[in-house]
Amino acid sequence: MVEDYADRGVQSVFIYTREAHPGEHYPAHTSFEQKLQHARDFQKIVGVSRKILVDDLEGSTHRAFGTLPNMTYILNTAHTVLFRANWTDPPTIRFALDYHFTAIDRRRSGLRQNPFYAELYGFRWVDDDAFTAGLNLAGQKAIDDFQRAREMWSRGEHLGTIRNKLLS
Amino acid sequence: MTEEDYNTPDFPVESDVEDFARFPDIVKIGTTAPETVLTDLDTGEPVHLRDLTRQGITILEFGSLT
Repeated sequence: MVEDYADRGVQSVFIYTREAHPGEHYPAHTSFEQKLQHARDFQKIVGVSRKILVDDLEGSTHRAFGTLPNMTYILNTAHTVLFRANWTDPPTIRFALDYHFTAIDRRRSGLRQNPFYAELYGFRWVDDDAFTAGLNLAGQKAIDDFQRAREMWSRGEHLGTIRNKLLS
Repeated sequence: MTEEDYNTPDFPVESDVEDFARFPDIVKIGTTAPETVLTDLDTGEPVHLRDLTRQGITILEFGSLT
């Protein structure tokens, strides 16, 4: 996708975090070298061509940005947040980039504009096959962990956590 | 948070729910993003995120193999 915006100077990087679903084959990181090796495997298995930046073992960058497993941010050259999403969804990223560059073009054409705040309730495509493949890659433990989480969610046990957070 | 607390041995389902609930309050639109340092996988060199964003509009995707 980023190739479509090459003339706009857009770059995309992947920040390698902790393992979201650790398993026998890809357990939680206990050393930075292990984390680098997992990132190299990710680069090879998934065929990642963009730059991969590996976070430190403490997850300093990941935690600073929210600690979610697959979030996306778009930053401008002033290091200001233009867009953020709690899950990565390419069509939404494209939407945000198109919106941003349309606004830039309007400004360059002389149209007066003021910045404003907006939010979007997004809907992402769920690729169950790819997700299951990821769990299989991690190992049976990751599959069992996620099954337990699904059962917990189906019982609504996570709602208490959210309610407590909202009331805190 | 220690390395052990962050690198949970299991899928962190409880903290995951909390993190999703907390996300709207963190690094808001229009604010300056955190300036952190990461390691370039290919070169092993440190990369200051701020130096990277100076080069152009930057998409940051977070994730892992699993």
